[in-house]
Amino acid sequence: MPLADARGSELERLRIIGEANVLQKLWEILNLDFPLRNSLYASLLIGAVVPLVGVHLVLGRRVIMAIALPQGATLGVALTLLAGAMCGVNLSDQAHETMFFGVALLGALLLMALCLLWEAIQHARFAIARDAESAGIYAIAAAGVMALAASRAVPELGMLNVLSGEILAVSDQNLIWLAAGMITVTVVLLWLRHALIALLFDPALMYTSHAPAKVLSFVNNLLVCTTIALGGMSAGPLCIFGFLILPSLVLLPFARSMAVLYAGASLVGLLCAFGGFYLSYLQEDWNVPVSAAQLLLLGCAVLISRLCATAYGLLRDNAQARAQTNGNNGGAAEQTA
Amino acid sequence: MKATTLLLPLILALTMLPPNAGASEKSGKKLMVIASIPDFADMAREIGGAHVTVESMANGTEDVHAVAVRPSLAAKLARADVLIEMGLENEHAWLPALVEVCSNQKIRSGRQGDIIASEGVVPKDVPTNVGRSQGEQHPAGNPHVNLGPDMGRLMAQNIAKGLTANAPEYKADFEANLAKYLEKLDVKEKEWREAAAKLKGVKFVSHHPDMAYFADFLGLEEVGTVEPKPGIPPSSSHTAALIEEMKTQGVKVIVREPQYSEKLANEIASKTGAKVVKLTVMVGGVPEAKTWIDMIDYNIQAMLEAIKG
Repeated sequence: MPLADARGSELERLRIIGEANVLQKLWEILNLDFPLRNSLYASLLIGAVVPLVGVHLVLGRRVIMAIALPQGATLGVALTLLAGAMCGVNLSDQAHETMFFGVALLGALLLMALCLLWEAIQHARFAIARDAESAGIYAIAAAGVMALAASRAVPELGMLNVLSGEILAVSDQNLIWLAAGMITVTVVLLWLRHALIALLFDPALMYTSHAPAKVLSFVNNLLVCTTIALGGMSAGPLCIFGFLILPSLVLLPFARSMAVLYAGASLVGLLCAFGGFYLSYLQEDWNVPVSAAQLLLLGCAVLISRLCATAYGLLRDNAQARAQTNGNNGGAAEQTA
Repeated sequence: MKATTLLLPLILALTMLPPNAGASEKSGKKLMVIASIPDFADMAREIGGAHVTVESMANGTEDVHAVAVRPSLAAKLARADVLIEMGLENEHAWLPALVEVCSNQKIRSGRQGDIIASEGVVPKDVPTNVGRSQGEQHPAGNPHVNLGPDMGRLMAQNIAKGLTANAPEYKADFEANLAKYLEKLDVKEKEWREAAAKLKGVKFVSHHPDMAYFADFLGLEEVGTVEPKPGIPPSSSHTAALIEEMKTQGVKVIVREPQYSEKLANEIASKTGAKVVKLTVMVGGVPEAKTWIDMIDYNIQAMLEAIKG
């Protein structure tokens, strides 16, 4: 056989093996016996629900708060671990799993409530820009987490792994809590969506129209904080920040209604969560962590969305210009006639 | 007269003192020994006795390859007469930088004050293919010599030799202390060998490839590690493959070191029916491991408990 033919058949063989591998890996992760199915389901839950909450943060122009809150939640979990260690309890071991989840969730919610309260007070008293306050909160929370991680205050370094999120280590119990929390958030968000949207776009009107604006504002913050705390404890603060912001950015140039924005952001988040998990599983040699693969896919989605939006804008402008030229020519022709 | 004027001569006098003046005045002619890990600090105390003041840079719960570099560590090194390190590039990520900035010529690499505890060991797992793609490799071989129960003798002898070279006036005391320590080790090693018979052939998985010398002594069989490559965090595909491999090979023990995730180890254990056992990689990693002998005792006992079922 000539050399070129032999090389061609070898390449063809490798291509077939590659395709089989791609399909086999897909089948493996879709199989109910997949050993990391909890991680996959947790990723999908985060991908579908976190962007719904993120829509409110993006439209409310509170993007910096979207990065400050997960960091605040992480500090809350870190302080919980520290408090446990000071009391002689290793909260990260299996025997204390239920207790740790509950206490860490409370710690995260408390810290986020403090962050929101601080931001609101500073904004009201000193009229400081909310973004500046949020950025300050992020810096302080991040420094607190770093200091705690580097110090020897927590007896076991391994306990701090929970701070960066361990999506590969989602237990059955964790998954149940995550699912319960995320489903509750989705139901409440969809149930109160009209009031929450009104609060988002015209808070002044809400306050003057005797609507329970303060209650709604509290519920909105609670939804955001619960989602971030639950997601952050499984996937880590950076991953949650990405899922809060990027899916909304993908949809913003195209969405013409809130329903489209909600559904689209959730769908994009879900697809990228699955795609990222699959890519991470498929590309073993690259060793890309699940969260990084998911965020990279979301980044690609934003890029494609921007390119499409630009192309659509150019086409629309061209069409308008052509219509205008045709209109002008028609007018001139009529005048000439 | 202003307070600053009064304090100025004192400050000048203090700054003109040689770096070790304060230490030697306080502790007589004691050797100031800084150990990279608490294991060597323990051995230096045993051998140096009353002639040494010993401090450890890492504590038992830290990652020995990634100890946080703090200014206080550089200050400790600046005062040191002797530095004891593992060698085999065990501390390569943090110690050379600290030795560089502390400006203490006595403990620079290759000088008399720099004691390599693993000198003379036949290293395990020497890589044949070195590259970034292979993870955080140690080109000279697996550096976790301190976990080998039969390595105590060699490390103690190296430390005694180094201390003697730095303080020859205490040679007789160092030799006597070493002899006593080796006697203790002989007794313990016999016990450990008896325990090894029960552990022979037990298959296990650890998070990091740090159990090579420990496993070799006890006849354990390491099936894999949670890390795909040394220092590389576990990926989804590797974790899934490891779970399958553990099921196929019937691995019943997962070794978890205190610096690595407990949650992931527990999750893998729940999928495979294996038991998670915490082994410490340094003295002080668990409250029971107060000395090097205690640490080996604890690790072997923990393994024996794990296979009881």
